[in-house]
Amino acid sequence: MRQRRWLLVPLLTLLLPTPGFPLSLREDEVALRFQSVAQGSRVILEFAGPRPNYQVEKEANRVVVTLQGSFHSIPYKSKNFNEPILARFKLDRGSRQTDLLFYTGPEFGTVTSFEMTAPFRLVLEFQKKESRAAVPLGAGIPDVTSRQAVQVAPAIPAPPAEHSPQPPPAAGAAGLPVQPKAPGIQVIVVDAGHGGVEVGAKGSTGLLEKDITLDMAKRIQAGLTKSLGVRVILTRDSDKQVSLDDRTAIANHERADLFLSIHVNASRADKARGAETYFLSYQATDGESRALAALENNTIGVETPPGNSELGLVLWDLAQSHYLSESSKLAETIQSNLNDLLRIESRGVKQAPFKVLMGATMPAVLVEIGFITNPEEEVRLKDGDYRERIAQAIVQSVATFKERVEKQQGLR
Amino acid sequence: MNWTPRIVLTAAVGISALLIAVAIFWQVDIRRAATPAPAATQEQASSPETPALSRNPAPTEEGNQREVTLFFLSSDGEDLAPEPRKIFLTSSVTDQARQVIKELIDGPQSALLPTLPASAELREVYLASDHTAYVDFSRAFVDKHPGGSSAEIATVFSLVDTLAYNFPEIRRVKILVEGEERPTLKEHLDLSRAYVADMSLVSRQERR
Ligand SMILES: [Zn+2]
Repeated sequence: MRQRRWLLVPLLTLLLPTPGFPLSLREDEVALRFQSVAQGSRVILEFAGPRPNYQVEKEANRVVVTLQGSFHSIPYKSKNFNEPILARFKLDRGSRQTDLLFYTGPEFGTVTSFEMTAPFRLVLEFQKKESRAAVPLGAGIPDVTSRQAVQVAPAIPAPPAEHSPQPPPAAGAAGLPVQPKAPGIQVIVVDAGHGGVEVGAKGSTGLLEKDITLDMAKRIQAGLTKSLGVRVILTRDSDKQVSLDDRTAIANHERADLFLSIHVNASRADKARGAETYFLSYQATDGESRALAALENNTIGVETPPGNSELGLVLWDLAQSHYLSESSKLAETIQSNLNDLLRIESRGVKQAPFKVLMGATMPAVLVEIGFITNPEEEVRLKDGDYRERIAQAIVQSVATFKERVEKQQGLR
Repeated sequence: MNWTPRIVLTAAVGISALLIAVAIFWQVDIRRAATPAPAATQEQASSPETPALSRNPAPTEEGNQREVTLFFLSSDGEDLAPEPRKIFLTSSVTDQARQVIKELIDGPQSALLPTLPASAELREVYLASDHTAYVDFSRAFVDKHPGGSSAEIATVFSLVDTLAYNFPEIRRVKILVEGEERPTLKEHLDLSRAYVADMSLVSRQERR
């Protein structure tokens, strides 16, 4: 019954004229709201004017809502969810017809739509495959069940559209450890920041961050292999583009014990200098706190406000949040070694919501080895000996961290 | 009862006047006016506590202007620091926010440093009733950004802190580029989330 109560809350909010969305809708706009609900995702399309002519069609890898007329979608023209049921939204706006494309994920099963009036809203419920526990649509709300709940006819599977973007694999989804890791620190993933067209920060003489990070990653790999005998995997070993999700997924898939992301910093202040080590910050927004509370209560059917706190994000934040204390210790060790080496008073360890650290299921830090925008540091960063000394300081920090962890685990 | 019609009439006139006022107010708020049309309406919503600087009194004496506080990068790049500015006291929060963001793009007038690319254009600001402001920039917001964790943090929090500090109605800020959500700015900070202000990034001396 507890589950039921949580389900009711989001369903009841449907009765209100779209709470949480701007009232400043123009006639040619359709406002989008997304909610994570039990067994799926809900999308609410709100219109300012009268009921538009529309059609909902289920295709092979997407659900298409076709509106007669030319509509802008606000606030998004596109949005990535990377969720198992709903992967991505994209607007395709023509002069007479507008397509709202909802690309579905691997766990998608059915879509159901129904209408609500004053203001006119079209509600789409995306549900999991064979979710036997699924509560009938609009259950518990007489007002909704009395409305026309239209089961969308399963359309003939259409061939995949030409430009249908394949959603990237969710960070590490395939790489979640299924067995407990071996004790100690045996596998380390070193991530050379940026690459390919993503050049990263640029120095005034044209030095590129992506080249420095690749060289650094190789030096750190060599140092760790030689002095610690651990297995070191690079997320890239050449000048190529690798998505942030893939970088974390590699680390998760390899069941790495540590993830080190190497970067070179930039600032509008050319005086800014020195190294900085970051670990993930967990800045819980209102919605996330609510989602967390719901998780703690062992319930899933919590409504999340639009724009933040998709449940997926919360879960991945939590993935790294298990390792935050270890991550902060590793960051402190690296930062103090780098400060000693560079003879710069501590800039301190910092925290920020870095995308590349979020899904990592192991202690993970991001090291900014210096400022490419500081003319003096740019000159030094070009020097191989200087880079080697920084690499050695990082290797030494990992050695210290490894020893401490293995002592704690009684391995030493 | 010969006073009844009078009361009814008075009440009716009063209520209609109120309704008209509300209607006008909404209308102004609804229209995303491109030009700042100075209006006399005061928006003094109850302001949430800000542990830092004392909030500037919104309306000023001189005409329909209000003073706002912008946060730019300090010259040593260590933190954010305030710089005052005057904007038109237009009736809608989104319009005032638009003016403030344009000032951020135009950059500081003091020795502070800019945080947003000068060639970035502000496309739109939406304010949702859950107090999330959606700020939509042109492509140059990303293309002309120098990258680097420090510069990204300065950009995001200069914007978020400035909006949250000056507008109690704005509690979260979500950045869009060309109407689309981006995973990151330049492969560092997560932009798929809405940010709340972090006043700890504002210089301690200034926070006092
Ligand atoms: Zn970087």
